[in-house]
Amino acid sequence: MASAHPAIAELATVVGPDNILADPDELLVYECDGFPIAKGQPTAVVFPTTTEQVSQVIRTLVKHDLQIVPRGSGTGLAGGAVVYDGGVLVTTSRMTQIEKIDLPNRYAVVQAGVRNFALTEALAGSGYHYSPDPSSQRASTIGGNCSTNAGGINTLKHGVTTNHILGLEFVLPDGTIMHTRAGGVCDGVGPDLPALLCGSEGTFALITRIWCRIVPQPAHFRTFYAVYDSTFDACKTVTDVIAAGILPTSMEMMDGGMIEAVEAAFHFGFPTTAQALLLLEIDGIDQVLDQQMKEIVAIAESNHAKDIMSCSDPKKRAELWQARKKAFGAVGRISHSYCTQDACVPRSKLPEVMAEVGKLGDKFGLRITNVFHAGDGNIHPIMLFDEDDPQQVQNVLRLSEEVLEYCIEVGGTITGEHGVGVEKLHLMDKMFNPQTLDTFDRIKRAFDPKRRINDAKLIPSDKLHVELLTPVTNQPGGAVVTQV
Amino acid sequence: MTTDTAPARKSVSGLGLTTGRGAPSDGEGANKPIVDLDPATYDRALACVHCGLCLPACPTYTQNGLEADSPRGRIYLMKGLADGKIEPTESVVEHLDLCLDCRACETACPSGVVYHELIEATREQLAGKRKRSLVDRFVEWVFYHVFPFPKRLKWAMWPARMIQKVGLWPTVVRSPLLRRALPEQINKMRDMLPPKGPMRVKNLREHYPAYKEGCVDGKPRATVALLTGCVGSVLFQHVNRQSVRLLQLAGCDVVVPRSQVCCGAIHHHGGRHKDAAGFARSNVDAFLDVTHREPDYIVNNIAGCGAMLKEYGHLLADDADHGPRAERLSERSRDIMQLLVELDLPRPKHRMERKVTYHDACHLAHAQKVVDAPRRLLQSIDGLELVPLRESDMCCGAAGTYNLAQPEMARDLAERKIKHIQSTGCRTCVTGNVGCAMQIQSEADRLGVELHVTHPVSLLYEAYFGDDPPPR
Repeated sequence: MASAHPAIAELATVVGPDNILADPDELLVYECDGFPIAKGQPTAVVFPTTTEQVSQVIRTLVKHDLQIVPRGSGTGLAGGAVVYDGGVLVTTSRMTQIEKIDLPNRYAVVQAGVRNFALTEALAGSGYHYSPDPSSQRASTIGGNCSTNAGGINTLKHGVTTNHILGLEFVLPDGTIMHTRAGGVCDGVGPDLPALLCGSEGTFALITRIWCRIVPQPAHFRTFYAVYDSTFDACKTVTDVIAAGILPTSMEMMDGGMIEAVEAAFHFGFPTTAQALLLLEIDGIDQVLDQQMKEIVAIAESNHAKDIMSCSDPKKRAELWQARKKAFGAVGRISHSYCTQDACVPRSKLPEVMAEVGKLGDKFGLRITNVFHAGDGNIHPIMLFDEDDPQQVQNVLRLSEEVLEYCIEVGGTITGEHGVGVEKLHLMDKMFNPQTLDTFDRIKRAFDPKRRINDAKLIPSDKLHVELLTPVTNQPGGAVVTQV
Repeated sequence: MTTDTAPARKSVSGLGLTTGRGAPSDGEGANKPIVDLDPATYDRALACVHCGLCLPACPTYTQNGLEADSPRGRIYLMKGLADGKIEPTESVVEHLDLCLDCRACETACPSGVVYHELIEATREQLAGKRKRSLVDRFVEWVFYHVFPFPKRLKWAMWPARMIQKVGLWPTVVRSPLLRRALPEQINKMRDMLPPKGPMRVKNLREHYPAYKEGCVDGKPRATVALLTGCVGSVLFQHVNRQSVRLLQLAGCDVVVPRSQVCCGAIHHHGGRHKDAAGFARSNVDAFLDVTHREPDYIVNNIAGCGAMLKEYGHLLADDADHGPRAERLSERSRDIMQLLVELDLPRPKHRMERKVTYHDACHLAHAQKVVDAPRRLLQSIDGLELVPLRESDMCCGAAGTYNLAQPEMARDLAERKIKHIQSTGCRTCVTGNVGCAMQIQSEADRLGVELHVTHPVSLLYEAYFGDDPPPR
């Protein structure tokens, strides 16, 4: 490392010397997020504690012409919090105050670094919760959830992050502090700015404070589980349930490979010969749930489901969801590295999509297992590989690309909930026509005319290109950054 | 899309696991890594898929929000060290030293990363490479040469007990002059010492027969060997005596092997694996003596020791002579709470109108996965209300000898713990580990918080035997 960047001392005066890191050894751990294929080292990491500090930090970075890259807990799966071009990470991990909980008006005000589950924990005993439940909810921040418009298991019925955000405070890439809301009032006037920032992946502004909707926790549940000899029948059940006018809280599916992996690791007692497992839950008014469940069981039976089990026992329910939530862990036990893909396809196309994804895996000689939000048509093929084998890294990236291109072809999208980040940037022009991309670009420029914040993520940049598919000698999986 | 060969474009670095130092490069030849992990342990580092789900479970990350002080970050650093890509600079070692080895991350990890083996192996490699002050060396000497030896500890305790006896202890504890004159670690040790105790701690007998009422058809239900613990047997011998009587009541013949030694945990966590293995061998010989009938269970009432006993199989895996017995010892090891639940004690006789909360010792909850047993036993006591504690399984900062080595972080974590205890409204906190008990008690005293920290065995004893003194 060359001598310290002059911005570092200035940043230290803004946030205090304890709230900045610039020692190369300490920066190492910030070179990637939850998508370790993309790597890039920041010039520094700053830990502001207030919105005013964020504003000051951003003004300093502008002055020194350094890229601003926001980061929450770094659990993102698309490389959205990776720094290229010697930028500076502005992390919210010390902005963790839950500032207000207003039960009568059903909202909470939190700093961006508050963890998703921390809010629900703070509401314990009140009968309320913060509904969006990404698998990372114990670790990921609400600010980060907003940036990627995070989904989760319950989102089929209860909606994704944007449906639960009432207002935002954010800092523009010139240091201006903005907010879309004052107090608990409903602001239906003008363009919906929070919705625009939700899913912008930190490319428009840095979110600092969130007015979150809090809702009563569903009190009554029925949980359903069945296995199938074919994924086709399982997927058909999903489509038929929705077609019957029932909206479950969640409909989750595992394929044969995943059932085997989960069984091997945790011994839940699932039949390992099954080709698919469907886990479904309904919530609502106790009296109507049994009738609804009857209909679901009938639909499942007509689709050749086996071992059907439905229950209202909270213990059994917890057990079954454990199996679902531990699925990723089970994969970790059979492969050192894995890449979880994320795409949405029309529900009715699920059976053929699953078959095609399997075939593509064979083509690249990579094993794929599946566990996914079937109700949303949100697939998560998990590709197993070895991070230290450059060829396999290449194959994973190419396989991802072909899977996603195929999903676009059948009328799907390149991401359901993980975001585009740096990982899927090169697919944006396949997903959208030039006019749409241009509109995105103009929106970006309205917030960030000089492309100072998280450039070359989500929206293609004319200033910075990140190319993950080209290997660098001795650095498997590293990105090549080229500056225009 | 552009490529890195396009001449008009500048290629920017910052890629791969390199920091520019110690990185293998073609010109200089690859550096030999300072930390050389065995393949199995290294493999476990790779099992980390960088998902970050461990972050909120980690006490140090929760306190300071630094990735390098999270399990995921530390694994990244340790992998970097093992790959020879970074050097053990002061800051790197500091981040690794700040780890409590509480193993909460292992409970949180979906991929089953065996984190403790990784940090302990790395610490073993780094031992001796760090600079230590004279005070550090003294404290370390106390850790390794006094604590693990009950006889030496008894002698070391003598002056303190003398001062307590003549009533000068409060003066010694409160004296600002002394506090300023002494190094922080020494002050901490003094603060943690329970304010009274016997001048002479008596040893347990070697054998206690099962009570008739616990026996089945007049025969004891099990033979149980008790590990009394080194610090435990000097400072908390009453918990050992109470444990013995509860086990007798449960129908166990209790033996207390005289030749038992420290479990080796202090050395093991400090990266002194050879010393730890020595203690383990001695204990294998003491508890599974080839000339006697082997006990059905090896029981302890100290979370840290219990976790260590359950590691013996792994620690002595390569030892042809002791290995198989070590494996058996690990399999038969039980925390006393676990065993009392397994043996299904009858409900206690005495009512206890008390509101208590329970703190999960890391080495019970995370290392041994004993979470329900103590709660079930406490709830079996008539009249006792068990109030849930927020973040009950987050480390209190004791972590073996951590509170002496990292006093600042330890204090912050203790304050967090005590704040949560206060919000339960309970004046009694129950925990199954002497280290946690001393830490929480001494910090509560320092903060002027009225709190009594006690072992679940002590409460159970009272519920079963009332004021009856435990056996000699």
